[in-house]
Amino acid sequence: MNDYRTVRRRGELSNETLKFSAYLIQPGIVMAHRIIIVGGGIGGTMTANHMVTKLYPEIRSGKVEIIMISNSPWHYYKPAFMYVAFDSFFKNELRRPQRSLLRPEIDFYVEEVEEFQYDRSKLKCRSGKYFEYDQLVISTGCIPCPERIEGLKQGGDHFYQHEPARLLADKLKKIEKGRILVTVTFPKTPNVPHQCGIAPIETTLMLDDLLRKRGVREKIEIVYTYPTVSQLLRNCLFLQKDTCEVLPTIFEQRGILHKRAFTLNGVDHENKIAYSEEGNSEDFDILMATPPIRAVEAVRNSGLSQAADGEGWLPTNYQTMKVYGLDNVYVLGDTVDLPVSKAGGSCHSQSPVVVNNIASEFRFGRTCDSYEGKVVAIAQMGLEAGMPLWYDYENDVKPTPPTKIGGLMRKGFNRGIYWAVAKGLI
Amino acid sequence: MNIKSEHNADKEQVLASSATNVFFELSEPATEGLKDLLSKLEPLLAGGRLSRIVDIASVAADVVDMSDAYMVEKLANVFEEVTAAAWMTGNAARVAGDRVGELKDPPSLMALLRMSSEPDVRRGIAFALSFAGALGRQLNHGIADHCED
Repeated sequence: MNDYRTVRRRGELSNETLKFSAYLIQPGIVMAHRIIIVGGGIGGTMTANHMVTKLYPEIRSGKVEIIMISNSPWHYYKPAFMYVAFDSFFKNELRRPQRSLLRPEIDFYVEEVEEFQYDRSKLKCRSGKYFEYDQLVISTGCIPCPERIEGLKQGGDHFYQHEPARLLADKLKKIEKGRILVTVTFPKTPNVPHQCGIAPIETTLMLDDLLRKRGVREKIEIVYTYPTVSQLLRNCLFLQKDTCEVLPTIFEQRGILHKRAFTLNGVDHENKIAYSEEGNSEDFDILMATPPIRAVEAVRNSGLSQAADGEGWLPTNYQTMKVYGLDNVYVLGDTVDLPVSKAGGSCHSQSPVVVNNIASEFRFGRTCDSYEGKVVAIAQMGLEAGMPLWYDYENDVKPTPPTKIGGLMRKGFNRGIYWAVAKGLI
Repeated sequence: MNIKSEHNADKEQVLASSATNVFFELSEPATEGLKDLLSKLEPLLAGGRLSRIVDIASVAADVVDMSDAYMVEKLANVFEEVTAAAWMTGNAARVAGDRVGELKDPPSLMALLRMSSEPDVRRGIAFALSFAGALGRQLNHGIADHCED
């Protein structure tokens, strides 16, 4: 019975794989096609779940197996770290056990991938385990690296990880008067954006609302700065032209100072002064920074990236989402070197393309889908208002007036809909 | 023409003129859009039913005004719990259905016992028993006299 249902025995994994489907699979006869997804963030999670749906007939018959490897047993809703800085989210509200978000057909391993051996289609983990794959999806995200700018780690704050966001929240709760400086640092790789393009604007407007709510706004100056080079634009306030043009009015209405051409290159944390590459300096009491980012260490060390300054972004085919030079490796999310936002709203549109292409390659031997650069999100424009936005390779965001309905939509997404998205239901 | 009808004619003229002014202030595509919208609303106006649509819009506006972050949080939590329960149940039914569908014959009692040695099966049984316990706790509200007045 079931002699067509088998699992390839490879390395240390085979017995583990067999555990889950002990009743479904007779081991050792046919080799299953193994797809490994590395990274348990939103990109990896929705891709793994969607892959099960798409390749279900093959998974059911044991011809395909899906494995996810993540370095954490927890799945974090990363955009909520921004809300942590404004005391709007507790830790238990922004994370779920990763296993609880995965379909049971997915084998899940908590392992730190140490080395991508692309030439041998193999992964080496810190524990010493090896995983072989037929197709690989890399969705390992990026990590904030404030230490890459002198003095920033000591003198600045950010909201892209939980602990730094908690520290920032404490400072924002206590400040009574002074100056809050907002800085944005782009990757050195040309035309690659920083993490979540709209986040600096979102947090600046949220900051304004928070300080007004606390009744201390008139004693605190908010200064929003933007670097000279922002992807293809120069001397702007945002990385897209249309939005850049409406920002001065929005900032002036709220009394937020804004300065162009401030590319942060050093922080004197003792005297609380930020210096720019352009030769200017700004005093601050709190420096709310969007820090430099890089790919994770294993990706950086994999020898494939052509990104500047060792940032590690993988060279990505902007349509198929394959890594250039590797026929069986896909990449999505923050790890790509594409000009689209490094955010969940990008993963949501990239993931179906990756899944379709993998399914099509397995079934027809060729890819069938193409990413058009679509990014969809709802921007948090202050503590209450929201602005749905979308753009792609061809079209920029068309800014619309932020509304309360938009704000409620964003809150609904944060609190409930996100988890359905991760499960691949939406 | 008596005074009343003269007055009405004046009023209509003023209205028409202010409507024209509004149209003059709008761009051509916007004017065309408004005209298109008005032509679609015409049957509702003629039937005196446009007020129902206005009422619905008013209720929607009230709902938005009354909603706040706390309410959205509660609703979103309910959404997550319901979808999570449905998703988990659906996943389990799909996997179990496939598994049973592959069997030529029903498993023997011994085979069933062997199944229960699988940790995930035992975890599932523990879930079912705990589920029954939690259900029982909610039903354990004693005997109440619902007829008491």
